[in-house]
Amino acid sequence: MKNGIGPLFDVSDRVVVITGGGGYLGQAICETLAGQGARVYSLRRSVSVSRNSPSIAGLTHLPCDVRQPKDFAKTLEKILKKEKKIDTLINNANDTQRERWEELNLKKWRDGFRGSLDHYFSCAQVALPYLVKSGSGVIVNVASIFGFLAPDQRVYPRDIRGPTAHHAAAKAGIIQLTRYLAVKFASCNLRVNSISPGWFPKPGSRERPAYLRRIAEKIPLQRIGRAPEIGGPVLFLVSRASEYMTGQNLVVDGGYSTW
Amino acid sequence: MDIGLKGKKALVTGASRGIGRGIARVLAQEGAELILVARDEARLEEAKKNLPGAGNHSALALDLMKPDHLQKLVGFMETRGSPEILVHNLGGSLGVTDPFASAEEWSKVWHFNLGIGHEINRKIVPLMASKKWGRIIHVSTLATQTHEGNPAYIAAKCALNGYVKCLAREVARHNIVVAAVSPGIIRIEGRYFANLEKEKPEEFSAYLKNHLPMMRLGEVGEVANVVAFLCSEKASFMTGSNVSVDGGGR
Repeated sequence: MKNGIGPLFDVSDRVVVITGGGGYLGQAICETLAGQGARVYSLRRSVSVSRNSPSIAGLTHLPCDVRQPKDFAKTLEKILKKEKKIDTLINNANDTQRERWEELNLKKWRDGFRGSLDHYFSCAQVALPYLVKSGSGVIVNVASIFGFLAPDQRVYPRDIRGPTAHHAAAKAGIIQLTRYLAVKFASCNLRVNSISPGWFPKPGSRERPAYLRRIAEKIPLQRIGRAPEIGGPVLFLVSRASEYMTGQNLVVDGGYSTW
Repeated sequence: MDIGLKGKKALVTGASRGIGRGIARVLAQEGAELILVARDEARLEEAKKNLPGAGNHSALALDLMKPDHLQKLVGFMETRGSPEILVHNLGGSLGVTDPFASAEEWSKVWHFNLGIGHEINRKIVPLMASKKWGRIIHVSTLATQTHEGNPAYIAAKCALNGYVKCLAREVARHNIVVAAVSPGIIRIEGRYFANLEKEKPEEFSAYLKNHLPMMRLGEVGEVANVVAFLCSEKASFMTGSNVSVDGGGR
């Protein structure tokens, strides 16, 4: 494969654990990877929501509070028992409230910051022995363009809250944690990359069409992103097509950050 | 898995060896029909002959530093069906290693690394725009981040990186994705590191240990795969990106 021989995005031998796999982008990532033959374990807090998720071959929903390292470790053991290996972790869960700057206090800041960042560290730490043992481990950390770009406050109407300060700071932390882990564990053939989506609002969310049109006008490709357009780049980072890439942040924003 | 390249026409410059040859191989495997360009006719023909679907590809032995050769290529593309994909893979210092070489010398290096690609883009982009689909991939270098190497070359590649971002903005409304790929140290037969590995293995190992977190050189195919990804439908929202393929090295 190193010389381009074999299917470019083959992930049929991968066992993937993804946190927050039931969300809008998480679901798209799960569907893309499972659709290409990976065995995907989607972890989320609420079992009832998981039950409502569509049934897809190769995709298993498991209840797990990924903020609790012990709960996450137990879940990995269950997966290992069935699969005999775990070689891919996708950190995607996000537990943060959108608060106005004026509403923030130190507690809200800490809660929000930790809700976005802490479990990226703890899940990576718990999963590392499994990933290293696999001999070709991959971590993909889902970050955001607001990890390196300040949100343009002028685009948000009064009733829509843009990314909060702690969210932006945590996403920057995710990008740097990615680089740190990439270098720290490169000698174990563990690749760690992040992906930074731009504007991917959930269809039918309360965000209004006029507001979304205004956003789209600011994006060179003149539209907001579609969920499968995150699935493709994550598939690329999991697959051998990216096997000499580590410590990188893949930006998927329709060109927004080139302005 | 079909990544959407079947039947797409793609230009690859510098296609007879190294990274360009690897890119041609992966694009051909994915079903693209190629226009291969390089100076050495024999080597180019040999590269073409070994590609999957060899009968679907064209090989043009041209020196794109010569204006009439560049014109010949553009004429070929305009009359024989313009490509939906342009992979600009020309790069190098042309032997200009003196930081205080004349501006004329520097401009040659600039033209080789960026000017030729720009000349092709400005002729082909309107044709891509009329189809509302296009991919333009420029091969840059990790040296724009490390700043180790020949100044004229690095300055030209830094300009190229800026160019890619600007062009991405300009043509995005036509659904044309423009991106750069920045390879780190890649194993290419006959080049410095491939020779070092054979001739001075201890020095080579020490270099890997000190400079490359993955502790190995990259392979041509590993760069080519990233280029194929950026050409594919899977990268449809990634315009303006500059993707490093460097094993984590700096």
